[in-house]
Amino acid sequence: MTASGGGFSLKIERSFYDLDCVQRAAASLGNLASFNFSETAGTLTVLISVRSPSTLTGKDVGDRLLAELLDQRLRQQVAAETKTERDLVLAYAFSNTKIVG
Amino acid sequence: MLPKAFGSMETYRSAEKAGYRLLPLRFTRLDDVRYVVSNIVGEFHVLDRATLEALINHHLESGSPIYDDLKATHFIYDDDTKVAHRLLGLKYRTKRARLPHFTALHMFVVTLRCDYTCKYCQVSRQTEDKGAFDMTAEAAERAVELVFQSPSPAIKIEFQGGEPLLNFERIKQVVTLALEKNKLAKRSLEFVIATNLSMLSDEVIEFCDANKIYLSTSLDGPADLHNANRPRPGKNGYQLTVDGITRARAQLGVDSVSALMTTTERSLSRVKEIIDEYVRLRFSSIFLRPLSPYGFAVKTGQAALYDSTRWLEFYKEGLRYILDLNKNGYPIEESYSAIVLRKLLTPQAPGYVDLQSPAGIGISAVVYNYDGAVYASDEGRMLAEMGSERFKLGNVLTDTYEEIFASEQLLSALEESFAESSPLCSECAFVDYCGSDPVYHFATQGHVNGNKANSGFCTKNMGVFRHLITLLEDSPEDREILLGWAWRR
Repeated sequence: MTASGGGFSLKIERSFYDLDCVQRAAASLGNLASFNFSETAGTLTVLISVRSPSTLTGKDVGDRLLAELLDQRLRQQVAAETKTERDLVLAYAFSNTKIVG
Repeated sequence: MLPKAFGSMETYRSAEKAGYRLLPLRFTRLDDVRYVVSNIVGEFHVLDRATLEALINHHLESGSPIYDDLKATHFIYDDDTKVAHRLLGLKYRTKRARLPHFTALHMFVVTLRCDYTCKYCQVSRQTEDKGAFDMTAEAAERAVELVFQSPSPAIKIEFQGGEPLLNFERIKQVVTLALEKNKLAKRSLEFVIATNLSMLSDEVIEFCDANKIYLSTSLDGPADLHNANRPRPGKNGYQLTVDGITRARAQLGVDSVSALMTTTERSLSRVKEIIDEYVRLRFSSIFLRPLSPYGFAVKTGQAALYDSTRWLEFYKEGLRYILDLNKNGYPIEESYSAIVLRKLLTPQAPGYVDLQSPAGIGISAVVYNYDGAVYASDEGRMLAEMGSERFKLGNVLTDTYEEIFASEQLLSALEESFAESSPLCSECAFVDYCGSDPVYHFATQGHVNGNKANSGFCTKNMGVFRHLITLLEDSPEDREILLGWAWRR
């Protein structure tokens, strides 16, 4: 993580986190900062601009973003593993109702 | 020697040796070290980070207490049984059993006139003498016809204003007509008048007594606070309200009158006094309600004087005081907490409109305005008074039931705001207890879905969920009281 100009930047290896994962993590912190993404050679750079007024620094938000990334990756794992189960549960829930034909 | 009835424990654990699979789950941070993990029907556990990772990475040990707990509550399943999917499906359907019943709460705005001049009024009331703001007999009759086209087995008709007792003739007409229609319809039919009680005559009390009508009033706290929040010519609003409560209870019974408070900026430092006033008047519940961003509350700037974070401090201080009152022998519940606790801890799905997904607008509650216009919710008509007709569904004088309740205005708002498919909500562990409140988000952000990271609705409800779950987890004494609120009804 590095401070630069009016913001704070964070470099993320795309081999660890895909763009969807990073964007979801950033969206959850949208009340604290705005995020600008750029990508070069498999590395995603996230420029963090903290909303003012705020007691948080760019590094504070960067730390939270990293923690949120870990959570998002776990969520991706769960979503991938449980897609069939989710469909099955919902099929049972709505079977024998007039909602589905 | 008799054969053993059961095999060894190892026998029953053998099916677990092949490992487990996950069932759909969501997780959200509770605090710095703990997570709330909920399944597809809202049953939840509080886990530390290491246990959460172990769960998701399939490292939980067969035979450990947490393995058994998570298996029993359908977060994981193994070769032992595949019944989890069917049971979850059944629970999911049970939680949504209210949906086919459709609209239960029908609000009649019989007049916009009011004798009060509250700055926080969310309704944009009119002064008393403007008869143009009264519901006509024709509009009332058409609205009652629509009420009974709802498939709901339980119908509640609530009279709103303005001050509805300023058009008591219309209330009498609607009640008489509805009771007549219900002889054939045979619904569970209830009436409520939301009134400030200043017009509570003997005739009104007798009519309520004869027709089993409940009264819901506003009480903002001690006299000085109530009168400052709710000014009235003569400055006697508090006394009229308290006198009205006393007179109504004397003839109709103690439970015939309920009261609601609204939190203004001047209420924020006085939550204990407000609760004490409810205790003094022998109420068994109090609803710590924040201001809504509609009507005069916006025009006068009242709604901007505090935010959801400040309201949460007020709520937590009040809830602490209420829990301590319970411990000391006075049973009183905080109504919003009780609704949330029922969603957290029971299979019930309380019909509270703001905490529903699909949203409760139109399909749980609907408003028939004084001019015959139909709105998807009380807040929807408040928004219309501010110039936006986004939630106007039609008019009782010109439109059919189908045109109103299958209108694009309603269906698009329901579809676009569905929490389970909304950004951030879809991955939130609290989504099953929460709602989508498209009217709030349209009013504050210009879109029915809204950006939840910047949503006061989200801040407020996440704060309430986290606080209640923390109390349930960390305080056995509080937990006992809160469990009582959840299961009371």
